[in-house]
Amino acid sequence: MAASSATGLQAVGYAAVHGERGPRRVTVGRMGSGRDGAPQVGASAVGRAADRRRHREEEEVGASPPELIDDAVAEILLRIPPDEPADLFRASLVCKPWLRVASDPAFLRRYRAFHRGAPLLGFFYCAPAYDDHNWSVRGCRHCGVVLMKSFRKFAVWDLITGHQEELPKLDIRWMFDITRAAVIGDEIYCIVDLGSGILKYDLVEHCFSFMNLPAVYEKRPLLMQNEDGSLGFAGVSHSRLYLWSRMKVIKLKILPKANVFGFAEGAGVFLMSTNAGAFMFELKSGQVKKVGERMDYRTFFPFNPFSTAAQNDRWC
Amino acid sequence: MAAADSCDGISTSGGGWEKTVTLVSSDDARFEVREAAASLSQTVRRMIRAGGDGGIPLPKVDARTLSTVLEYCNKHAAVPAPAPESSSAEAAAVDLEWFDKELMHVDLATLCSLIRAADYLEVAGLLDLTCKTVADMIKSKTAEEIRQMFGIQNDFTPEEEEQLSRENAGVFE
Repeated sequence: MAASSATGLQAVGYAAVHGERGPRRVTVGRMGSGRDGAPQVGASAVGRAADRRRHREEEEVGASPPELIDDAVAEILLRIPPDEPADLFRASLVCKPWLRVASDPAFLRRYRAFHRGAPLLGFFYCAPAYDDHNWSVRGCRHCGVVLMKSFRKFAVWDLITGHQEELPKLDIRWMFDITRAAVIGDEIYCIVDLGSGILKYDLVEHCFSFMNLPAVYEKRPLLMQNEDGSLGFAGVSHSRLYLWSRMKVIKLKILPKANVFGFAEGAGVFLMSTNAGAFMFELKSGQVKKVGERMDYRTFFPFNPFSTAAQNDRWC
Repeated sequence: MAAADSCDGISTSGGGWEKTVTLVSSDDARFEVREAAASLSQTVRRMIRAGGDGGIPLPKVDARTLSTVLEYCNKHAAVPAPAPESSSAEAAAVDLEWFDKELMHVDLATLCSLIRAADYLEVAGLLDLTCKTVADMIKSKTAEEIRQMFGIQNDFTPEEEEQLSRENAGVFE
């Protein structure tokens, strides 16, 4: 049996259980609460629950298992908790239709949005961080880490499988800072030439566009995705964190000379380095927490293993 | 579909006058239900607005599934006169949680029928509840165990499976 069908889910065993078919009239009344505090619905609902259990016992004999349409599979997989990444991964390996659902970029975007606010599991903060010291970590998204060996030599390292794949050499003239980049929809935004501008690459049209940035920030600004899906921009000037496109300014009272060096998308957390160490600043609550000692935090790559199944779309 | 009955009616349950509608399942069972409860289904709500006689036909939902869906809707629809024992919001929430938990004590086939019905009828809360229940059932199982639950054939070739397991070895360590 294939995992999807034109008819979708099958309500099996109903005719066998009920025996008769034909017009009946059923009145479903409102349920209230009983005097003893236990819901009055208990008497009828428990009875119905017992009925359902009886149906279950009867159906277990000779009933064919239910079929699932892709939409139902997506709704179910969407609700697998993200705290154990292997769970969604295992479920995606059930069959090709399930793998196709779990590998669909639209599903993965929904999954991340659905489980927004999940804790930040960890981050890479310093280069080199990979065991081969010739490679340095230059980016991390979900389970993929971008490694760089020389200016034009890149590789992708899968944190779940340990698989490493070198990318073809790039012919580029801009001085990229991919540690301060954002991927939004089908567009990649990247700070270039030490913060003088933003370069956009359209993955659909395959074209570049460039925008100048004002030189008002003490350190290189950071690109991020806002909650509404638009491009966000964060920079620090005179101990104030400026978030663009929300037109929001946050005054940093206890973080003098802070440098915002990272933003964990989904968790809504900024990472800042100061003379007193590294601090985590939660955007929604305004909570500040120390996460590391004082050192040169030039880079930040949040580890967020949500899209574990994305790599297997070749099988679909 | 028989058109003898009027779509709308008046019920006196709960001591007040409430508008009711008649829903007709795929196997011609008729359910008279409060409009407030039926309107938890966006599909039914649209059909009520569109008007019509003879009850609202729901050709994709059988009587047994519809009965459970309406059980959910009746419980979750805003009740005009709250019962004294459940007057506080906390007690009501506990009551609803207990009800939902009890409602989900069904086999997988029924759960899947409910998912299909909740999707078709657009009862968001029930869709979430049923899908979460199934997600919890499969979350710690192996791919093979999930296949057995749903009777799904493994359609990967041995070569594909070998490569998948090789590429994903780190997940299962």
